[in-house]
This record gives sequence, structure tokens and C-alpha cells, in this order.
Amino acid sequence: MLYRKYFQGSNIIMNINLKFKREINSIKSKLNAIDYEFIKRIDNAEVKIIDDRLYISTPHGLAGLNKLSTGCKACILANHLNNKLINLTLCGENAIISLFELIPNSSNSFLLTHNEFQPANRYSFNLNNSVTGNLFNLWDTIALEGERR
Amino acid sequence: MKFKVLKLNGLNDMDEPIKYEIELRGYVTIVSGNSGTGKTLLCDIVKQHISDGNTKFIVIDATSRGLFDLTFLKNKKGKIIFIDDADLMVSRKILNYILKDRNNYYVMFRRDNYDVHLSPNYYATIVWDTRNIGHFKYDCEVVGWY
Repeated sequence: MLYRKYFQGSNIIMNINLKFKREINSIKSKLNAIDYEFIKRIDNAEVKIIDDRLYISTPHGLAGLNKLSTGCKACILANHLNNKLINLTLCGENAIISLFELIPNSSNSFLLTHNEFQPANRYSFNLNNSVTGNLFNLWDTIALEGERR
Repeated sequence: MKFKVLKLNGLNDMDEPIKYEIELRGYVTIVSGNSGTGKTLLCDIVKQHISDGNTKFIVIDATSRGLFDLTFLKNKKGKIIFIDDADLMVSRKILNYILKDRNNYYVMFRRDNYDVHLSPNYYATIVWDTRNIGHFKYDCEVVGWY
């Protein structure tokens, strides 16, 4: 489920960077092919293990997992958490597209407050069993869903 | 129109040199763009400058929560303030202050700019000339909009 507006709830992950920092140790041991693909697509990086330590090889050199982009962190969290509402406000379009493509049936919900989301024109979204591909229909439907809650 | 040019050299985690050559066109610059383009990396480089003793810069990010408010900004003069994750960190009240403040320069990394009343000339993305030299690419350049 996509939401357009913020609402109070205990399952909300608003600050992706802080959540990732807290979860990094448990996530490190569970990284899978989907995570590697996120890292490759979004940050143009690869995971490397050097002296038993995990690094990402980015276009700007080697770095720790904590140096992944916020968008990439959000996608990795979405891959490892269930039934949460994840704030995608800090994610770029490339990260959001990767998320929808690689985890099409996520158990998580997402908060998307971008005032522009150009790729929406190229995709169709299934919202409450009705398929919409038009950007404005999409936003209207999401806004309605937010208000209903 | 006189632009402010910043040249920032730094190192990443594995000591590879990184350089940003940034042109600030006005008091407020909003940087957005895809994930993984180097916005947070820029903040990290600026933090290195701060830890090296440069008092001209301030970085506000997710770790600054609770330390950053209107009083904090009102006490600052002549600073260049970088705000990462500005969608989360900057409330409406603080944003209104920032847009009017002429004592400091602000670089905000922010995506939801629907109600930000700022000339399109001040919106930028980060692009890389070579592997390790990044700069701001502005979306618009219209003389009448400065």
C-alpha cells in the first residue's frame, strides 16, 4: 500500500538512516541477492568481503555499508522488515523504481510524499484491486486512501 | 550576480581523495536528484573540514535531531549550513526562516519542494565530471529570476 500523507502509528519508520544504523549488524549477516541488486542499481556499487569485513566498492572508492545512499538503505530495510510503514520521502526516483521492481509484493507499506514522480507514467500500480497508470489518478487514489485512514 | 564558490577536498572511508567544486548562487540552494549521487558524501566531506577546525561550516543531519531548532539558526552569522535529509529535519517554521535569512548560506538536500517559494535558478543536482570531482548542476539559469 502506498500512502501520500503521514499519519501516526507505531509501525512507521520515518528516519531511514537512524533505523539502518540500528539494524545494520543484523542485516549484515542476512544480505541476499536482492540487496546486492539494490546496491548495484542504486549506488552503482558492489559488495566485497576483505579480511572478513563487508565493504561496498563504489565509484568513489571502498566504504562501509553505512555509507550506502539513503534510498539504498530504505530498499534494503524494506527487503528485511515486514508489515512496516516505510518513509520513502528521502529516496530518489531510481531507488523507488528499484524497490517496486525488485519487491513487487512487499508486506510493507510506503509513504511517498514526492510532489513529482515522473516514472509513475511508465508504470501501472495496483491499488485496492484497481489498476491505475496515470500519475494524477495515482496521487488522487493515494490521497483518498490516506484520508480514509 | 556574484556567486560563492566552494572547493572542498576530502577523503572517503578508504582514504581515496574526493573533491567538490560548488557554486552557490544565492543564500539558499536546494539539491535533489536520484539516490546515490553523493549528497550525503558531500556532508561527510564538510564534516571532515569541520573536524579539521573550519568554523565556517555547519552540517545538520539525522544525528542532529533535538539539537537543531530556530534559536540555533538565529544565533548563527556568516555560516554555510548544509542540511541533509531536510525533508525530515526542517519544519515549515524553520523553512520560512531559512528562506528569509540573509546572514547565512544554506544548502538543503530536499525532495518535496512543492511549497518552497524559491526561484528555479537555485535548484541543483550533483554531477560528477570525473570519478572523484563533483559539482552542482543547476536546473535553470534565467537572469530575471535571480
